[in-house]
Amino acid sequence: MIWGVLLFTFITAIGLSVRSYLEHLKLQLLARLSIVLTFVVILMAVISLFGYKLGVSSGLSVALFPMVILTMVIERVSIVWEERGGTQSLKVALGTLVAAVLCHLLMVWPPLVYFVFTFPGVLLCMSAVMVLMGHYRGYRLTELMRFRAMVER
Amino acid sequence: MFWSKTRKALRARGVMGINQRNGDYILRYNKRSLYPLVDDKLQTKQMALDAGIRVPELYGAIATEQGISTLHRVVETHRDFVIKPAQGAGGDGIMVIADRFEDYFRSASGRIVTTEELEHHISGIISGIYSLGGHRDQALIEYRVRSTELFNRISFEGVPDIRIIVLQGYPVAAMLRLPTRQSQGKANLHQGAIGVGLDLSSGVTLGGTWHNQRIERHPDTANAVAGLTVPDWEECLELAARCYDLTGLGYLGVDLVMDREFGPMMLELNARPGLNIQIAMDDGLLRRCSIIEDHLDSLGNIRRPVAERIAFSKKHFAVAGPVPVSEPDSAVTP
Repeated sequence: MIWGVLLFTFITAIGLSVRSYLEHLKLQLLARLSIVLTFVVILMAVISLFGYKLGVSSGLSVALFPMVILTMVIERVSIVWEERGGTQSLKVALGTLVAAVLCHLLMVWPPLVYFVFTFPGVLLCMSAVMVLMGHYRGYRLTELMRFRAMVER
Repeated sequence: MFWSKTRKALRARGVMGINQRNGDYILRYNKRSLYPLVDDKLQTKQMALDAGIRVPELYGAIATEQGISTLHRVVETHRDFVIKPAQGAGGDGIMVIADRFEDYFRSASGRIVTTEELEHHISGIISGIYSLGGHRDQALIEYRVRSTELFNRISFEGVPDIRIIVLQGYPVAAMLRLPTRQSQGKANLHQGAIGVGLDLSSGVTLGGTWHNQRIERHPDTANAVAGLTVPDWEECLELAARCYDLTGLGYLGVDLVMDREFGPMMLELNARPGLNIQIAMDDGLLRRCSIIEDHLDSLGNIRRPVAERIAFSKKHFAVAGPVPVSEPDSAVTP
């Protein structure tokens, strides 16, 4: 997992710097995306090669990171950077990382893995819960904060 | 618990939350197929023109990279203009050119802008960096609205606009949005503009909201925001109410601007209007919407003429003293 976090940070950072250089060239969207994607592929090739030579097997397994998704992450983060500034985009990237780590921790938790694989019907129950959640019309916790001014007097 | 007390108090005041707005109003009253009408400002403008609703004049639209070279021809005869993405959201990507200086342009905040910068900005708009979902977009070049003397006193740069929320053709809530130094001339609340509630019956300003707090003075100019009367208020209400018949969207936010020469103009429409208007008006949207819905039920859901709808809204949403809270709220409890 440490490897995953490091790789995500590393690749996103390199991708962002490539992207910020491309900004000067004023390219069209598709061309820009393709170049960033190429760089992501090159980075991964290099990383898995080094991992193999140095005998670090975990380098190989995380090198199977979804490339296109990483490219889109880089593109999104850099757009947020342009529109809302560096702090905001770091916040977004960190949020993505934290969510990914939490999902990972949950997915490798043996009791849960066992439970879901033995009883796949649980997934249907989950979707039932989500349907219920979709019908919730009440306030969100953040809204209790947001509209606080309306009940203070 | 503290939270449950807040929740009950908000319920009692008929405050609408995001989930409720999305589920019970937007999904229910706004057909997805009608969204392009309001998400694409070019279509909105065309539709408004056909119906005889006043909008800022369109000088030109640029949809392709090659088209950018026609920019100088479009703006040749105009000293000032606005460039905006046709499918932008939240006021992003809007560039206001207020004047010229030799071969350069001067933005509304006084910055000197070169032609290349202008062209690069348009190129960005076309490739879709400001559009919802990153689709290719068009850049609109249009008339720059100059606000009236009255509004200049209580706003900082930029042009204030009037947001009116219309449910099934009935105006339910209105506020004036004033740009601040922080919002950089933009009138969007989440970028730091302030919202000032309006009395629907008279167009008189009430208290204001800034970053979810209640305020009484403009943070930059320190002028009091309450007690001013919006000119041509009748016309504003009528414009807003007519936008429902025009688009068919049942829950609609109508943005109007007040031009020094031409009076009220329709700037854009919004199919997912924000909820902070409630803090500005110090009244719940749910409470007001329920009144309209009960009224429509009693009418058997027949569409009434504009004048009648406005009269109904004015009668029920006038803020003369404290807002009455004696409405039956059986329909609002979860």
